[in-house]
Amino acid sequence: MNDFLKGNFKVKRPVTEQAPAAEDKKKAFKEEFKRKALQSVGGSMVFVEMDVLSWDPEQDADKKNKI
Amino acid sequence: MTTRQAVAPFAALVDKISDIGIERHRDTLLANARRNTAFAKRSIKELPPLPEAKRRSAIVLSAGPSIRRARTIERLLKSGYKGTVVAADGAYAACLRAGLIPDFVVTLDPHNTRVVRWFGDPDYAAHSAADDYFERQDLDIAARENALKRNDEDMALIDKHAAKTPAIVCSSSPQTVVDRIRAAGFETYWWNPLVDDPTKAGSITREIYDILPLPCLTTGGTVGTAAWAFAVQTLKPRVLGVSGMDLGYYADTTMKMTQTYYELLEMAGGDEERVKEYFTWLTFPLTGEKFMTDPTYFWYRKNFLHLAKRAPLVTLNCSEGGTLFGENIDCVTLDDFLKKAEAAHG
Repeated sequence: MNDFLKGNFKVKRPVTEQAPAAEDKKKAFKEEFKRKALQSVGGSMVFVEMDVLSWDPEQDADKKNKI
Repeated sequence: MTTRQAVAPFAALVDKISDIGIERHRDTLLANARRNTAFAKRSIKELPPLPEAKRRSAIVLSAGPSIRRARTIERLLKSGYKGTVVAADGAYAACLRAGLIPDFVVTLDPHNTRVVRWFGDPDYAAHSAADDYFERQDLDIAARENALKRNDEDMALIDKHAAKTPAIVCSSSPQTVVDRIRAAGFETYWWNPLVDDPTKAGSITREIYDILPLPCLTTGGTVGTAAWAFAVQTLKPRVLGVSGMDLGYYADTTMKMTQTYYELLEMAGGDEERVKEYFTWLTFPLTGEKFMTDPTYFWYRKNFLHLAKRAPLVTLNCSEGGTLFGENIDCVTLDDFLKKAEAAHG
């Protein structure tokens, strides 16, 4: 950028370009914040739709043995 | 804003929630199950049989605002209800304060600093710093204004009565809740969350079961639904009611007071006007009253409707408000539920 922009005055304080790393950090922080926000709406517990209300292999085995 | 625009972000987020939950909870569920192997000595299959009168009907009390607005606990007490009372953890202290000792209290949520409050949190000041979660709970207005005092009162009350109510504890429960339940003197009976298909490769449920071989119950994503599943599958009553199962907010609730407001605001890019796109309205069929719901509550509702259809009995929703209505769910007043329960009791 310095190759194209040249001022005809001098500034009191030296101007430094913001390091790209700092910009990336800010972006990453924002993304992380958004990810956490998204997780907070994810309910108290995992749930994937299934056709049964319970699962107990021990009880199922007992039932089979009785048959 | 058109209706189409209002619905799109809401529906898109609801669709994402199951996947978000898996990403969010997997490691915690496994870690908590491993830690709880030291305490989970009895499963829900080892519960002593209930007396005949208690087996005929049951009511599940959740912590939705209707339970306070409809004065459900007081009316139940006054009616001399003879059936079983199953309290979700969030409704338990309210029952004790009113003088009702539930037959069971169910806990599920793995959150390490919030859920313990329902049992009286010994570290409440530290846990509630920078977290206004309980201030956004409509169940108990008084508690919002003097939260620390109310927590101390609940602790004393729970310590006094804990031994009278078996705690139905999920293996996903965090250390804070398990420590508090044990210190208060509850008898504990344990279960696993049925969170996915255990017959499929990579199932979290199967992995939890391999750590702790307990019966697995569906949860619908929230403790109220888990308490309902416990009643359906373990208690097997002839008549089953649910109350305080609102899965929505009364029209006079501001969006800021809803449970995931800050998260939704973040998703709306901090634009308070756009947050409205993450809410929708449903009409409660018994009264014609409109209720607002957010993506998380709507997801709970969708899950409950899916499960209710598969239950062996009709669920009587006697919340007298909210968004829970659909196939195999009859919305009735609490008085009508009590009449049906009375008939079952003969």
